[in-house]
Amino acid sequence: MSFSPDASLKPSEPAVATPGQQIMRRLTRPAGVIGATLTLALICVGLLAPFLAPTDPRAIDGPSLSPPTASHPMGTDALGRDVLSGVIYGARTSLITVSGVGLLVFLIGITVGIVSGYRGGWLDDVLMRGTEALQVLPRFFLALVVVAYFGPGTDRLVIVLGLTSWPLLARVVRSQTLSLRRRDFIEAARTQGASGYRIVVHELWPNLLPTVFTLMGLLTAQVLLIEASLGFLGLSDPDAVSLGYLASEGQRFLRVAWWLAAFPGLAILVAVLGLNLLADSAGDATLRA
Amino acid sequence: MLRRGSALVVSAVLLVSCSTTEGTPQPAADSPVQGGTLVAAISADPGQLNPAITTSGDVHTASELMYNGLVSLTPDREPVGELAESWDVEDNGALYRFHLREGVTWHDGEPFTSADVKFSFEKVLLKYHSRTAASVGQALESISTPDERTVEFRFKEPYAPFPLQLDVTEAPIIPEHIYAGTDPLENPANLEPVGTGPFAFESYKPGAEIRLVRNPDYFIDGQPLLDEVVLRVIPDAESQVIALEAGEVDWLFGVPGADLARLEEDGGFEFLRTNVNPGGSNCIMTVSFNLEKPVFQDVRTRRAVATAINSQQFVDRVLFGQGKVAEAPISSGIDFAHADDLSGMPTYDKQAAEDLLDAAGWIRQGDGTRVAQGVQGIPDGTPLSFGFTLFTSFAAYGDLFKAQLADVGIDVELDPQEPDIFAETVFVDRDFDSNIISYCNGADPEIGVKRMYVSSTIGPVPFSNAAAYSNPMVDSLFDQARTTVDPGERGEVYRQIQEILVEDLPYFWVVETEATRVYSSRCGGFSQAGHFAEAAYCRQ
Repeated sequence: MSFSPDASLKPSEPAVATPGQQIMRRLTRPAGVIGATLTLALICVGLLAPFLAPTDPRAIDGPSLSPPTASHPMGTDALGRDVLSGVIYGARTSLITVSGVGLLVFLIGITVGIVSGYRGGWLDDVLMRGTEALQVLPRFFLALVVVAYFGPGTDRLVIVLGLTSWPLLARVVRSQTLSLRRRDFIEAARTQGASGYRIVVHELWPNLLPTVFTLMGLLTAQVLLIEASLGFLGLSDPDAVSLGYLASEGQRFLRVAWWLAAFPGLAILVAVLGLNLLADSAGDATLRA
Repeated sequence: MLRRGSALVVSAVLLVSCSTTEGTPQPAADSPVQGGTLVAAISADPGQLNPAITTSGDVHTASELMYNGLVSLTPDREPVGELAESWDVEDNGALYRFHLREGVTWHDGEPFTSADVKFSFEKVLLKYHSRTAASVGQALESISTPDERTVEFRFKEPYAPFPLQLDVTEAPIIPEHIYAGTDPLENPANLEPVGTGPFAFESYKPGAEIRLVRNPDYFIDGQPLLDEVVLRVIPDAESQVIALEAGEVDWLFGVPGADLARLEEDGGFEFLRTNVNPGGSNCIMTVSFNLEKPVFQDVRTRRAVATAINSQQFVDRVLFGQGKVAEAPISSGIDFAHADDLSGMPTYDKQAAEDLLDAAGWIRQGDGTRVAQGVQGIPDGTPLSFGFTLFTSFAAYGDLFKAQLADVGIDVELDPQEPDIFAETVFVDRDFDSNIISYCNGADPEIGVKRMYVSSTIGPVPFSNAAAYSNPMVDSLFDQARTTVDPGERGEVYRQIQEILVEDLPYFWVVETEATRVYSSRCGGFSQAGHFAEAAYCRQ
């Protein structure tokens, strides 16, 4: 995809909406509404898991391998645990991972991108070479190595993914900043004596927002998939419930208990789809407005 | 005491065979035919095919059909002659004299003699076969060969379990004329084996398949019936089941419990339940308590954990009926030593477990967890929580263990590890609180039970005394059992040992596992042990 800030950045003309308004407008279209709803659902389910889940996801609560019934809407697994509770707590684990990684990526990516693009010079060179070095690391395998070396755990997963997922964001933010800093409205602010901080926060940032929003959506969707994949390979925190782990457990019983793999798999699909749709519609905003 | 071994060789004996289509007789099952090919699925590439230099189950599964032991074991774990026709026991069990079978030849035509037996033991088995080296190796004084057909084993003291350790799993005999003067670990014959067994080597494609052909000169008349056995590597259990249903393979060494029920309903397959595997027999899933950790110092805490475990649930939900609740420290498969009526053996009782924890000083809080109040070696207020280390493949055991203990207020932190890392963590670093291990007892307690309890086996050897249990009384009773020859008296000694063990509870014995072989109903005549296809046949 290509970013063409020129089309969207005319803050001085009142007829054109601000970038934030553009995002909101896009989100009210069908794809945006669906994406926002699904993402909001993921966040709500994750936050309210203890209240929503019928039982403790680890408790032996019913018969072994019971198909979906009124008391267990998503059935039970081989040990007799409620799959619905597992899916809800799995969504919570996914949400925790995605938020943690998202926060790290956001902070590092934005800082590196803006500093590099706005300051330029030797600092830009140093930061960009470092970013490139990180960008060529295969993230999934790095995560595998960390899990193999330090044992599985949500905390180290967040750290390793957070510390390696930001280069794309940083590079795009940098290129946006590079093109924006020579634009008239920034120059105007500068000639009026605005401080660097003020220019970045009040002039630059609002115009970076749509791009950042889009990339964050795509990145978090990727992180969610990596988290699920690690769980599927049995490398998630064994004391936390993970959607990927549930799906892989279900795979062993695929031909006798379809519900074990189907519901966690569906939950992963829905969460990733939601984040992608959301990111996509925000991306449209930057491209077409 | 003088005892004559029976010269009878086990012919196709089905231990427990249950037909799926009850009432409809399977024509294949009672009319053996000559010829045909059997395709069996194996779970892993063996890497090499010499069973004498390893106890690896993968190697033994793939290679045992090509070799023989001096004896074979009946389904009741009784030794009967194989390469040995008969044997005498003298000096109260300190001297074994084996009379070897006449006219046995290696697959390359060379005659089999007593020198092969002496060579196999002295140069290979007692060095590289870990179980045989650890048990027979420590007790043996010398091996002599008075003539080509006779071999004598002299022990330092009477050694009762010896005949049970001579089958193709514990002591396969390999050819001296091929291995003499070479490094047995590097000999090219490890990839192109020459044995005496019912099937001879044909080809080996690493990671794909091993082909064996009928040995026309096999020393048992009329065996084998099959022209060819193909061992195909299919790592994933689910894919193995699919291959069986598609007719691509005829035999599986094991099948996941959930699929078993489905295959039984579908029909077209036969089943053979057994507690014997090439890697070991009479296996018990056993929880070890690390007795070096403060939390497990108090036997009441260990007893509380054991009492909170609902073993039947493990049988039903983890094993899907492929096993049974362990009733004693020694497996029910070792009949003379198994003591199933010990009053001290913990059984599931949630209230009793709660009471024991209260008594041990672990007091329930408002949120359901327990914290220490006056527990020796643990600061007051410490929550009751400990780690549980396990093979990644045993994840279901861990999940159920965690859920059952949470019910009485114990928090368990699961720590799944790959097998080689597990061995390092538990036996070398001793960095664990509790764990679960499949301890295979073998045909005799001397083989697989003793290593768990005697103080001399605390240390870095994998799958030895994980609990670091040390009790001089138990040590001396195991010594006594080793040198007692009369099975009745030995059984009494093992009973005394088990009485102490269920009081001390260094371990808790959860379930005895079984495997279920599944095969196409057009085949039949299988047996449970290493020579599973010796008398098998398949109608084309």
